[in-house]
Amino acid sequence: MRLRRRRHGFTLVESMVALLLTVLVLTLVYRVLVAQQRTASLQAQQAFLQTNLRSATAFISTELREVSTDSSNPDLLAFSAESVTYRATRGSGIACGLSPTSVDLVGSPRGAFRRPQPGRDSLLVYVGAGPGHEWISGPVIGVGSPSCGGSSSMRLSTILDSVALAAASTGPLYPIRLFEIMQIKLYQSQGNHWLGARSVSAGEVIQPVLGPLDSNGLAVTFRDSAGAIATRSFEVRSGEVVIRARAAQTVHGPGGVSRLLRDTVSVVIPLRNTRP
Amino acid sequence: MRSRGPHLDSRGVALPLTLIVLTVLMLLTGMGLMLARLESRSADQSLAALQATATAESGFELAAGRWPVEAWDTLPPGVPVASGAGAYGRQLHVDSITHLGGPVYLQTAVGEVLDAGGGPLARSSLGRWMRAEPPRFPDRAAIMARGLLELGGGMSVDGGDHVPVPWGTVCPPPGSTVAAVADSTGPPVFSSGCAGGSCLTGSPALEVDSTASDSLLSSFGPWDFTTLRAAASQHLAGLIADPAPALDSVSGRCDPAVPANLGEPLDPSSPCFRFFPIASVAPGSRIERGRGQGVLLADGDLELADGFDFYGVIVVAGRLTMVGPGTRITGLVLLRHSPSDTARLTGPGEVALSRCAITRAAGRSVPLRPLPGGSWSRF
Repeated sequence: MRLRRRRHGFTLVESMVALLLTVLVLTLVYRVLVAQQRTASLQAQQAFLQTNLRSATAFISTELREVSTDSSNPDLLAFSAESVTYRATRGSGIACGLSPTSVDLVGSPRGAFRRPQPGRDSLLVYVGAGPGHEWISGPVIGVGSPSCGGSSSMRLSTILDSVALAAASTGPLYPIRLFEIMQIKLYQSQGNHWLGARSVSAGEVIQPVLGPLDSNGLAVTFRDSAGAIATRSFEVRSGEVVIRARAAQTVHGPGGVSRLLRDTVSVVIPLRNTRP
Repeated sequence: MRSRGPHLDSRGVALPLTLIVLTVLMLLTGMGLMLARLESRSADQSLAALQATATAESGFELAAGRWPVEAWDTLPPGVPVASGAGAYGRQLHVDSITHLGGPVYLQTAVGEVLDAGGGPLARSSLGRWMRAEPPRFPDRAAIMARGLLELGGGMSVDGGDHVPVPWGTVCPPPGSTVAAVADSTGPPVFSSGCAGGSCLTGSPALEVDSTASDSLLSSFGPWDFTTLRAAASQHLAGLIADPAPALDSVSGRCDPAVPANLGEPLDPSSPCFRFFPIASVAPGSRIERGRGQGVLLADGDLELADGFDFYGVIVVAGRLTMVGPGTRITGLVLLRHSPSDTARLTGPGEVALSRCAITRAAGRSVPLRPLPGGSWSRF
């Protein structure tokens, strides 16, 4: 019986066809991978940009929402399109006792993310002592031991107007607000623009909060009751802020063209403490 | 025998290559899905936080609507009192009020959004400082008018400071006597039953007061006629017969939802004894018999008749007609009708000044207002 010789390997044609197919498949896979990588990068940059915008608007809205524009007790101290200086609420509470040198709080301040800080914070007490003396203010110069009988109460050392205190028409409990003077503004650093913030009352230098932004990345507008642009604090009835942000890195779009993503958001700031 | 099947030792890269590609694609897809899920959760969380704040704020307004009108100024200072709660699907709010003493209050509302399993998704706690700002009514006479008046028919007007009999324990001692009538247009027309002004008692009985302008009679310190009317809880029109206090059948509390409930001036034990509403009365209305207290604001002409007994302040933008028998106003009447029109008070009836009635009506009728210079706060 004659045995056939068993064939091993490929013919040249088979090898060529296999090579061609492999190259085609690999090219396709490469293109898919590159496209996927670009899409992922684009999505990451978009997510970064939108997070930036969302955080910026949330930060500004939260900071400015409680400012009073009442002429008797204005919190909005100065403002322009790219900068706002204001008294930022850092807690509220009820005082059980007042003296020209101390304020005794029932419990700890509410709505606060930190304890009162001497040298940084000040306080406002509502005493209803007539025009110009409804709220009286004083610096927080010390934080002391409990005084209202509760274990979580707090004594704040301060300096208050004794004449206004003597004329107080309220009590035995008093509304208290703690605040620090803050500034938010658009500023430039190392070739980029940022939304910056600083505590004016603590003497801080401006620090970046969010960014990068475009060179016109922050536009704050306050309006009066007729919708016109307000120039003085007591005229302000509503506010709006426009943030124009850009991505930190370029992305490659279709055709391999690189570009910098930009996005803009505009929000109305719900000011809660304006006069009707 | 030669096998015609596939060679078992054949080599290829298709399967490993496909597996690698599929793995990479799955990883990329997984990452994309994870990013999308994170974004979605972040957006859900932001939305829930906004909903919680909005729910808490709605609690403020609802609590104001359900205010314990008859008792809010008697709350002991520093003790939070539940003032309402509500639920809208998975959004809840719980509200309370704390009297700080004097005219100052703290309103708090906690809004919460629950997830599908009933767990807390977001929570927002808000506070609002409030203050009672009573209107200040001019009390220089029992009747102040800027138009013509006709008095007669057994009508009596007294500028002495009266303390309503059932209110003896809640009123300070009477103050000084003022004019019975102060009118900017000149002396009233006196008809039979009040000849020569004999029905007037006061010091002086009659005063021609050029300051009794429409502005004086419609501006009441922090309030004016329009803002007071906007704050009215009772709205009356047409014929209102026998207004009387009404109690909620379930809680037994005074029920301000009944339009003709104008409080209870005569029975200190009634839950409505402390209810002093602001009532807005449509032009051309007539109130007969019955009783009430508070602030009555008539947009136009008003007729009081047949023994209607009222304690507080009545401001009439048009002509007032007051006929008897027994129709009585204890407090203050401000008449803003045109100087060329005539208000006719022809009894038999009585208008008597009462500073206690004015003060109680002014202090208890108006809703609280946010403190100027910073009221709303995260709590």
